[in-house]
Amino acid sequence: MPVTLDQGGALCFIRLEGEIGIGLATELKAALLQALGAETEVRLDLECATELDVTALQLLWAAEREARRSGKAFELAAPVPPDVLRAVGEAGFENFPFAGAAK
Amino acid sequence: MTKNNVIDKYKLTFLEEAREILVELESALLALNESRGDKELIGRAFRALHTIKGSGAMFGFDGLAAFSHNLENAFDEVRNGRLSVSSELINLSLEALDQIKAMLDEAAGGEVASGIIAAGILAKLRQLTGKAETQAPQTSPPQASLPGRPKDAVRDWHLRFGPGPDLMRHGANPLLLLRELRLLGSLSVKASMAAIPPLGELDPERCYVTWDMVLTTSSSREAIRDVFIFVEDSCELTIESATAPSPTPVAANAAAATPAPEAPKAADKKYPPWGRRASDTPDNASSIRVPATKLDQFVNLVGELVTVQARLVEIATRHEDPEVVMVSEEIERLTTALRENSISIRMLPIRATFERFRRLVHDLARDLQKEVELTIEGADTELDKSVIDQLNDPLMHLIRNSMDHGIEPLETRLAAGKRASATIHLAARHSGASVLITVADDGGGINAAAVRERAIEKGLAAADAQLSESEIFNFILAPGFSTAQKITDVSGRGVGMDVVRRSVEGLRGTIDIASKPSAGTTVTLRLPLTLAIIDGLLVRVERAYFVLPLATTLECIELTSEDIEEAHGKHVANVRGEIIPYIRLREYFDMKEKRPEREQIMVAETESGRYGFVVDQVLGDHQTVIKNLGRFYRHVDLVSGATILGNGTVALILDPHRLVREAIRTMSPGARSTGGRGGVRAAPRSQSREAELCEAMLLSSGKRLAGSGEKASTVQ
Repeated sequence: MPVTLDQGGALCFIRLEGEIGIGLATELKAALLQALGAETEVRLDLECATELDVTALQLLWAAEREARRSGKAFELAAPVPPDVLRAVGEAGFENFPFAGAAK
Repeated sequence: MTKNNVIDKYKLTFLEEAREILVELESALLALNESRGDKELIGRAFRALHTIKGSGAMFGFDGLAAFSHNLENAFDEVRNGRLSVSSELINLSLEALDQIKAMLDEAAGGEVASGIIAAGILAKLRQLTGKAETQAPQTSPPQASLPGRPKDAVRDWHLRFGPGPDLMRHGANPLLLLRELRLLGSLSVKASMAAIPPLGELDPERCYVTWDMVLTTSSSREAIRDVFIFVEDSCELTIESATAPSPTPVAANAAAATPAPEAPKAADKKYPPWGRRASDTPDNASSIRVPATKLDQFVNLVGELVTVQARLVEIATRHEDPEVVMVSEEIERLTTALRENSISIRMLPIRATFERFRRLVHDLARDLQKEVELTIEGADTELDKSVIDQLNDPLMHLIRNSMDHGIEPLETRLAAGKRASATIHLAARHSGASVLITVADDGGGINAAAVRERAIEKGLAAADAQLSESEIFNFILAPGFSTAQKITDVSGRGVGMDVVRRSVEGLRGTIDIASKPSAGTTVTLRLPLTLAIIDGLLVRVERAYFVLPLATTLECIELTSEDIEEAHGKHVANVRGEIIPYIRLREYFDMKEKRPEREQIMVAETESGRYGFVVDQVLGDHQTVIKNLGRFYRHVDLVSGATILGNGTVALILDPHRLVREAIRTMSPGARSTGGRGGVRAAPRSQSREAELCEAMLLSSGKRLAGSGEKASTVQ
């Protein structure tokens, strides 16, 4: 599964694997909304992601903004692969994976 | 529909559009071959290749993109004057075009395109351009793949790119565009996320991000715009030249503050409409692309509606209820409008079919070492899509024949005082409910004596038969007929013209051949505008109903027993002083009942002159939805289809041209009266067949044809 939501324990994990493109956008949005709606902190795991397209990036950006406004923790669970980081940087997205998650 | 299906759908659209672009590329290349310095044509070829490359890469057809990229680079060299247009380049480009076609076929699930051929083409291309093969845009290192850009000074360009709401849904990926832009020079990018709404309101498939960029490059504005060629009309794009070099990226929204001096969409009039996707041109902004099968279904349904409407009219007339009659008349009016509308939707200009032959003529001329120019006239003439689809083969055979047999070798032409360059003229025009398509050459013409001799040899005509020129030329259409001395790759097997005849007759069309020694040959195909619905005249003989096409019908007159006595047993009628031979359908179809006191003659204009068809009663005009008779009755020539009447009865649609031709043909050439108009009798040979059919039809009276599909119906 390219997009998985793990709500089992004290943390809510969103794990993205492989290419995350427009075909998964609706699914990713649903997962993010569910994660933000939960009581727990949110952890984003991009370790196995290979590519994020614009739809994925803007969803993550919006989710992070939402989390920051409501004072909810929205953080990275593992480092982002360098290739993904470089591609996102080349696309002009600064501070990826965005302010809150970078902490 | 799942997301993947959506993407697949756009891939299919890309494949379709790429094929259209290839057609245009081909015509640009062939035109370029004629006028080699034409910058406009070079630009057309370049942009076509660029679009195929760019959109191919966007949809993940990397091999295709890489291959086109090399060819595109060659044309970029040509565009910048570093490479001249030569026959070699044109021929190589045409080969490459075939390879791209093969790759598209492969992508559509067809045969695997040969990598060896592709490699061979690229190797030749390298020789020609004297440059190393460059890589596809996705994998090439920045700036390395651009050996020769215009020698413009390096300058900064401010770019602002805002994808439209549906850009991503259409399968485009803005990040790939940025990557391609990076190939032009050094690029600094800043994405603006100000427009992203709260997560809950966010449409996950819409791109809310806009980009501000500074590109430092020696490329021209046009080259930069070319990157966005595929998405240009579904995005906001401004390209501004920075007056002073600006090493830092512009701040977000800075570009918005300074109005763009030139809006690319409005300013860019240089692109021919096909340079972008057809659906992107402003003229076509309101047009949509529909699969042909849906259109066929639609026309079939309209056909069914017409049939049901005919029944309604009949019921309304029977019941004599003014209210029902009023409704039925209203429905009739609407159905007629709907029918005309649905037919017009299926109409396409014949241009694409005609243009395709430029390549054939070019290749054949090279193979046969003849100089031939193809001229096209009336390419905007519209024909039913299904007719156009089936026209390709016959036209190809006719052109091959003209090229091989019609047009003489160069020495012969020069000796005859003709121009060295021969002409094949392809024309289309409307003529009533038909379209006339002519293939004319200025070659040596048909040797009528040789054809006649060969026809006698083959037993197609009696040795002493008196044959008109047109009758002699018609022998050419017989199966296996050829007077060619040698069989070439191109033609001479005597298969081609038979194929032409069969295809054209399958379309309910006719062929006319005219030829003058040393002046050339003209073959005219007369085709119906549509294969789906015709205006017919409904007639009755005994209990059987027939439809004759209204377009050929001139008038209906009464045939009394006095008229018959006056003619002394001959099948001719005196119509206001003109002697009209007639065919009595009752006899033709071997119907046994006694003929009524009064009969009616329908006079029709056929290709063999004016002929009458004697019937018991003419019932009136009838919107005829044509149903094929099905495979079982495929050998029946005289009937071009069947239709279902309002009361559920089946009526056969007769083809007057073939009816008359068959009647003339079955009278042996030797036995034929010299006057030629001595009246025509039913031929015993065809009688049994048609009688059988007629019988089948009578049995089926009151039953609907099996299946409602246009092609599936069978009278049984």
